[in-house]
Amino acid sequence: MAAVIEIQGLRKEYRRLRGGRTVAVDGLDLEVPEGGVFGFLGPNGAGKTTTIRCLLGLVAPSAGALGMMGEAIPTGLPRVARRIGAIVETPALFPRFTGRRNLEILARIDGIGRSTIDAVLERVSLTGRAGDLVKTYSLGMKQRLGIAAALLKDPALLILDEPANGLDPAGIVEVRELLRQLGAEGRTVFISSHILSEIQQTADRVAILARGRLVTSGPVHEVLAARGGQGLIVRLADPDAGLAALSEAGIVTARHGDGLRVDLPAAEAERVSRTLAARDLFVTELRPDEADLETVFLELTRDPEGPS
Amino acid sequence: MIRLLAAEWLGFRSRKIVRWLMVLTVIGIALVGVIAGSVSHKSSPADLTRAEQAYETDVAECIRQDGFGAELPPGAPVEDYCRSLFSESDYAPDGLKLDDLDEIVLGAAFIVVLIGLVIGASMVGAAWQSGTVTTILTWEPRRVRWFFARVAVVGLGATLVGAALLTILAFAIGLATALRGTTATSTPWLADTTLAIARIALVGGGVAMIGAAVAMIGRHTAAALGAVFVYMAVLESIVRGLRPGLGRFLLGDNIGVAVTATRTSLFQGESMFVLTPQHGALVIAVYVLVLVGAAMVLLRARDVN
Repeated sequence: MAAVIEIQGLRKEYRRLRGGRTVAVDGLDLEVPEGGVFGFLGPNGAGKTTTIRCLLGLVAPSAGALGMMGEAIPTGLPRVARRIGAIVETPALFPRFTGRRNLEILARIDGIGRSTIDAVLERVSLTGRAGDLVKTYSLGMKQRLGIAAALLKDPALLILDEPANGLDPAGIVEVRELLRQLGAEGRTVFISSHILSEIQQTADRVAILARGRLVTSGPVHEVLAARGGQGLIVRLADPDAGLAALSEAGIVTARHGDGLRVDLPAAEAERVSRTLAARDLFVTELRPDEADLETVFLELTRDPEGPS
Repeated sequence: MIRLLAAEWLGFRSRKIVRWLMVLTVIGIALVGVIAGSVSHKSSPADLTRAEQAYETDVAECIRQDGFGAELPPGAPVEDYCRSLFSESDYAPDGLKLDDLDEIVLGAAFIVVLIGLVIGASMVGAAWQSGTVTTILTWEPRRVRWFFARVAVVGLGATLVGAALLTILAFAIGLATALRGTTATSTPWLADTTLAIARIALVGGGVAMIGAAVAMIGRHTAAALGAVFVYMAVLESIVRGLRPGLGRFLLGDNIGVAVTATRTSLFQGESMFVLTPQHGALVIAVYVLVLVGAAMVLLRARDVN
């Protein structure tokens, strides 16, 4: 699978006013494959936005190499900018212009027509408010307008920095669906976020950043499985009988709340089910024991020098 | 590049500050026209006869004294010389005169140049303050290209705004003069007024580009306006006081010369420096080029956070 974003050894240092340097990104290596939704996670100050700014040529890296869609960044950026839509942090738009006028100004840069503007406004459900000044928009509406601006170019790669910021629950669901659709259309959607439940539901792959370094990356289920350990959660009417049956069958089992935790990989779930059924014990729930993304995130991004 | 210019032009046209400045200035112009018209009065035939007689009396006196002793080329008529010494409009009754229209327009030069500065500084400063520079650079990553387009639009836009406002002013005063002033002319008033409008508008456009460049360097509208004010009102005043001859390099002096199209002499000790309108225009152009160039270099070199 071709990588649409390639980052090798990215380092960005900022000079402090009173001397010394702050390292925002420290030797980041990352590859984002083509297609689907890629979650870029990290706590505040981890270097997510700095990385995105480096990718978009807004910030010059102190060291390292970046590439997008086969072009070196920043030199090749003008050749691929037409195919990249981006929002960096809160969408920055002219507050005293209407939503439509903001889009018209951007659209003119690439010669994009009115029908496309209408289509993207419709897609983010802003058609009815397009004639209002942006300064009257809620944060969620500004986010949606920012997404509309990013979609104007019909981009192959979307880079969205915290797109769910400020959205209400309905808005979050709406944006989630939109991002899924965009990923399913064959586009690559690169989202930085700290709303982990959203990423878990939206992204196909994730990368987790901490203190400017990549701590893990890969398909969401692999990242979760790698950290959650191998195991199965079993629920049935009589857990004590189930515990005895499984132990007798040589399966390492322990009580887990009002159910059981079996020390077997998910691929051997059938063996558990068969063993219990042989004793007339029937499972009501049988699922892999995976950590959620939040647990993994907190574990991986914990500051080793901070409070445990 | 055409698309980028078109996008910038749309942004310029949509700016509320441009509209508000124009509306406020037009209101001001209308007030000036009304006040000027109300204090002026249409000359009576008797006033005009008296003025004509006074003019002819002075010309006759000049002829009688052989052009007040002037050394004229052989064969040159003394009357022509004497008539060139006196302008009929100087004898016209008080009040509005078409011959003075270019002077009235020049009186508005400061406001137009100031409007140019505010437009230029705000077109760039507001983009930094709202963060739209980031958004635009994700569409056009070639920073110098984008800034060039913006400065060009700012310069052109401010020139057109200035020309439009001065034309409205000239029209308002011209109307007031036609109704309640002296329309008899002895100068090419229309050409003089048109040239004055063109000069002021062009200088306003240049100053707008200076404002845009300073705002790009400072990344803030107020900082840019403050910096230009401090430079022109304080720093240039100090330099002018200490070394008057350096006035030939100062923005304020050269704006004055370029706008009025009059030669000015600067004296420093035994030395005399003559500022011509061409020199003024050249110095303004150098300021624009240096500041826009510096802004472009800094925009390329600095991070956009």
